[in-house]
Amino acid sequence: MSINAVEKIFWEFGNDPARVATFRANTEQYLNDYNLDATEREMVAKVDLKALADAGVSTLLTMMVWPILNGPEGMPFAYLEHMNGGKMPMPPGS
Amino acid sequence: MANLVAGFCMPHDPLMTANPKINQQDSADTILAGMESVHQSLIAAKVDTVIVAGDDHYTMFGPHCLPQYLIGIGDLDGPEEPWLEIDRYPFSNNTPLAEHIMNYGFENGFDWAVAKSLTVDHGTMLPIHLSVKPQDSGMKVIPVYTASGVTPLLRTRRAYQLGEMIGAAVKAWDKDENVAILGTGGISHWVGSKEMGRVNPEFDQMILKHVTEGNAEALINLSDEYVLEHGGNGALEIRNWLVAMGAMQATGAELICYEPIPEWITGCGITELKGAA
Repeated sequence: MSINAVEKIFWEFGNDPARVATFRANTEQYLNDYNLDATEREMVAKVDLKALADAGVSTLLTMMVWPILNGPEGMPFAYLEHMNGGKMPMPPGS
Repeated sequence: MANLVAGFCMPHDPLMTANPKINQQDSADTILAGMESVHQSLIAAKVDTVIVAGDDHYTMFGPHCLPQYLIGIGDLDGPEEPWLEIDRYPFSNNTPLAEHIMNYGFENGFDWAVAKSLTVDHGTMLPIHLSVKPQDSGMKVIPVYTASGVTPLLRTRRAYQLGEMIGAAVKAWDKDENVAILGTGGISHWVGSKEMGRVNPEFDQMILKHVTEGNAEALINLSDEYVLEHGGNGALEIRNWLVAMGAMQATGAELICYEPIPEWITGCGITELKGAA
């Protein structure tokens, strides 16, 4: 599995958040422009950042795109819960 | 001849400005006071130009171009990120000195990537904003970016050698100017991973011990695997500290402050380098 195309997609989201609306409007068509294998394509379409991070995608990017895709109010706790497979670890500073 | 009159290792934690009010306020205040003390030291040393070594966080550079090390020689502004709670502003480069360092590198085996204009991210902007304060102080800034956050990573020995070259270039500059260097980055921190919020004070103290003892070789010899396990992906930023240590030919350092701050997801330490530079 190559992570390069996934990192390109996410970096472009961060660089130009307006792309997210296009991605949301027609995800399958949007992803046709990238060299993704079937597994990558499914994980990106589902915004499964944990699986992508486990596969080697930079967590700088998964953290960057989470608030773009899911809203800033989920940072950091909802993001951490997602990255821990649905279990909330001890929150920072607790 | 220019003089490298001061060097510091320090954090560039974006939460220092994005989230300054936390439960662990005493610790936050200690680090913010440390950032201010660096500013006062730069003023006292009559510094004209500050070289700030930091790293991109996949904010400025994308998968299409990932420089091992880059120098900004021209127009500067920052920060790139709107969520830092810092309004973007321009600040001045010392272009003649930056171009001299660039050319000195080219002639001595360091093929810089070069930015003629650069909007910097928090990796240099936080120290610039909190410790250089270019708008008030008039100090000029030369940003240096190392590949410390995004793979492929700059090798640690090369980071130290890069610093040595920068120090030699400053000494070879024929203008009577005072120059300082800041090596920036957190100690232990896990950025974006499931461990985010973890801090490892034992690892942090080990790094600070090596810095205060001037033991760059010990830092160079830490494997990335060891750092990732005990200090997290963020701790790979000690490369920027090595740049400053190399430039200063640091034989030791004085600890200004250290605080492990989980709410800032980082072990934060500030040291003033002592050396022969």
